[in-house]
Amino acid sequence: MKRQTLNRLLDLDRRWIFLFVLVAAIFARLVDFDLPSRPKRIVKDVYDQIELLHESGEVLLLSMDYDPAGKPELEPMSRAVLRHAFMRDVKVVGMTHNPHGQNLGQTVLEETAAEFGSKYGEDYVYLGYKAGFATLVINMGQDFYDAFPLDFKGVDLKSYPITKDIGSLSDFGYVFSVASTAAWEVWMVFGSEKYRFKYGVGATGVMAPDVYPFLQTGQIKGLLGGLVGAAEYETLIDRPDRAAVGMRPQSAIHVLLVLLVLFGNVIFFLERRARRSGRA
Amino acid sequence: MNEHLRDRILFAALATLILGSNAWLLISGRLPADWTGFGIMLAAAITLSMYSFLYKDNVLFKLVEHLYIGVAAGYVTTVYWFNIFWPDLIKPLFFPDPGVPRRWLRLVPLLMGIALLFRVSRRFGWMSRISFAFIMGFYSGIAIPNYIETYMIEQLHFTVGPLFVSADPVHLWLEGAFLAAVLGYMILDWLWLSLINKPWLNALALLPAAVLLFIGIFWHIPGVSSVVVLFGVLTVLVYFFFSVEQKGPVATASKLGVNFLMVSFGASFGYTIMARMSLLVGRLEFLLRDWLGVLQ
Amino acid sequence: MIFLKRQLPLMIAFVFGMIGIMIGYVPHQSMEDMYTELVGWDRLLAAFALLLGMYSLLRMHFKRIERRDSGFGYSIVLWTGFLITFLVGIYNEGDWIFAQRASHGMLNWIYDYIFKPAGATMFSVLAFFIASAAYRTFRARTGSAALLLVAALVVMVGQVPIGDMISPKLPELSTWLMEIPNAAVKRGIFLGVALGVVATSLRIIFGVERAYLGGE
Repeated sequence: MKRQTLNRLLDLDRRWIFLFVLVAAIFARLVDFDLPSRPKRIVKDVYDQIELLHESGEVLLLSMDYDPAGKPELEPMSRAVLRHAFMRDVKVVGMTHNPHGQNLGQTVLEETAAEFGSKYGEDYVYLGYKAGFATLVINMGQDFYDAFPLDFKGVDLKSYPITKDIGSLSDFGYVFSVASTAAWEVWMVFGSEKYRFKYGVGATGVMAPDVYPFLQTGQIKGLLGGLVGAAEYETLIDRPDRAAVGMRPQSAIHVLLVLLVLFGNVIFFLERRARRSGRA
Repeated sequence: MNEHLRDRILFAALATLILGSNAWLLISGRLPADWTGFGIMLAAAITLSMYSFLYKDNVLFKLVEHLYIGVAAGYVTTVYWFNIFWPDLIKPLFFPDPGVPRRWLRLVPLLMGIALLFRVSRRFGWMSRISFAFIMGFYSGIAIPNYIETYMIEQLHFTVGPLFVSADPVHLWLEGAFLAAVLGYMILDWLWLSLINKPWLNALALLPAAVLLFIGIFWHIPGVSSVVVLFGVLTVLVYFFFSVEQKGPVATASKLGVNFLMVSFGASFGYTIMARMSLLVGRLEFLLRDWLGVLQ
Repeated sequence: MIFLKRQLPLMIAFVFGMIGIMIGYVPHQSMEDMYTELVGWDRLLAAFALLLGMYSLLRMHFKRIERRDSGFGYSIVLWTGFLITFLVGIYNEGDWIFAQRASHGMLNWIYDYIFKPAGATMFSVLAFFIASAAYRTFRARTGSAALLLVAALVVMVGQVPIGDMISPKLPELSTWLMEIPNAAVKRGIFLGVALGVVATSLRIIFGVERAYLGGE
């Protein structure tokens, strides 16, 4: 091939690549084919923790620490974990560390609760948002009622059966943070170490690699990493939804990108050889 | 056709597409003519306007972007009032429920908070320093023990964790011998690499170690992973340790550290791509399913 | 005055810093209560800090409108978005602000159909740019770069279900990469970060670091 052609391929207008990605994603979503997810061990760990709550009757604290920007990746996780909890009659307290995410948590709780006929106040409560991050976690650990006297509607938490006996974070059977920010770290650094609760994380793909060292030490029990983690969880509870069907376009784009990168490298080496032989 | 004209035609086409599709969805009854239906149409218009940035920065994109920031600011302000200022500050201090004692101590954060707001004043800006000093000082204080505990004590504890976990003595001996071989080789390799400085020889010398490790990994010999983790942590630390001159064995170790870093960055990058694509998948799902209704 | 402006803040940082270090280790009820109260204060101050940020954002755009800077129309849009959302929020479905928050209503509509799609789309645009960046810059120029490339490709294919279809060994390898070399590196980095946090915290408590107080 001529050097000119090679160079033109290397300098391809990025809008062509945009188009390839779009077409691959839409095509893979429209064509129906089966693409089962095999749950990883760390995903199964989260599942097992929820099952343990079913046995012990303890309450799950689900902190949905994301905003609309992280919603497509993280909401399927919240949904899957909530479905599992409601299915197994596990009581849930929801909250968020993200001021932009208050309504997201409310909606996903209300929608999943409606599927299983779960009732507000008896099966779940939503606390909403509070500022403070690290100090909020400590506040909740020291005196839960002092940090959250009211739920997001402004109703006294002592009036609900689920929350009336919760005095500290250590009263929760499992804390699960679905996070698109450093909230997952805050829960661990300022929470689980001191107040000794079991803690799991649902993280965006960007942050998931950071969580791994803490899985081995048991500081974090269970990780759902990105949409793939959510899809695997959906497989575990046998309720495939948006994450599971999302795996088709997701896989298609990944394959496309791998091919593009390999292609780019082949062209790059061909061009380099052509340049060197041209000079010689 | 000049570029300006082409852009205009393209954006006119986009506007027609948004309006036309919405009109069609309304008339055909796929979307209800109520607040929900109108909301979905608006959301789709916002989504497509934002995607028009992919072609080129343009007015539609900027309008939606600024609308987004404005709405975010308005929303957050009300959340702060209803979730924090009202229930945690104003109510317990000025309007306590009957039977609940007034929380006089909340006067302190109220005053410090007002002082904080003086940051914007040129004359009284110094008052905010007191509040900032409290925030920074107190946070620094609580951070120290918690960070040491989480990131150093607990983490080092595992890094130097047990190597042998098998119950069967024969397995244990085999594993031990294998690990000794790997470790011995790695150390010899490292010393030898420090003496010569030929990249291709270095690479060649690393090959047997890599093969041994792969054998260990695919036969699931438990200690191998621990050794690799230990090796990785140490070499990465050496790489980041700038106080020692990077020469001889130190330089080799730090080079190995770089390779570990590269693998980790590569893996993180793979994950990051995955994350970004998931966001796109989510938006396509909205457009195809919730808006156009072409999917179930 | 000098005392109020300079020494007092440093003293406050020192005193509360020391309290912060020790407070978790004194198992006495009065200390526990004080801890709860202090973190409560800190939480409230964090909320005030947000108001500060909001003020500077809105002021900047107000100035742009006032001066008729180029593109001041966008600032009007921003202000309109803010005012409408804010007013709907404080109207609170007719209950106004000294009451419980309405859990459903107009504010939720604005959130669901303007804020949510805009926020989600804004960041999904990055998907396209990262794809193009990967094609352009991901080259095996050197040995280290090749290592990075291979790791990234293995993870990309190994993480999604299609990797499992190609070969079950792929997800296994990608999991190993995450759990062993990646975890080792992250562990090293976190150790460094923790040391950095501790050092910076000590500098703040002892008044060596005072940039956060602003100039003068």
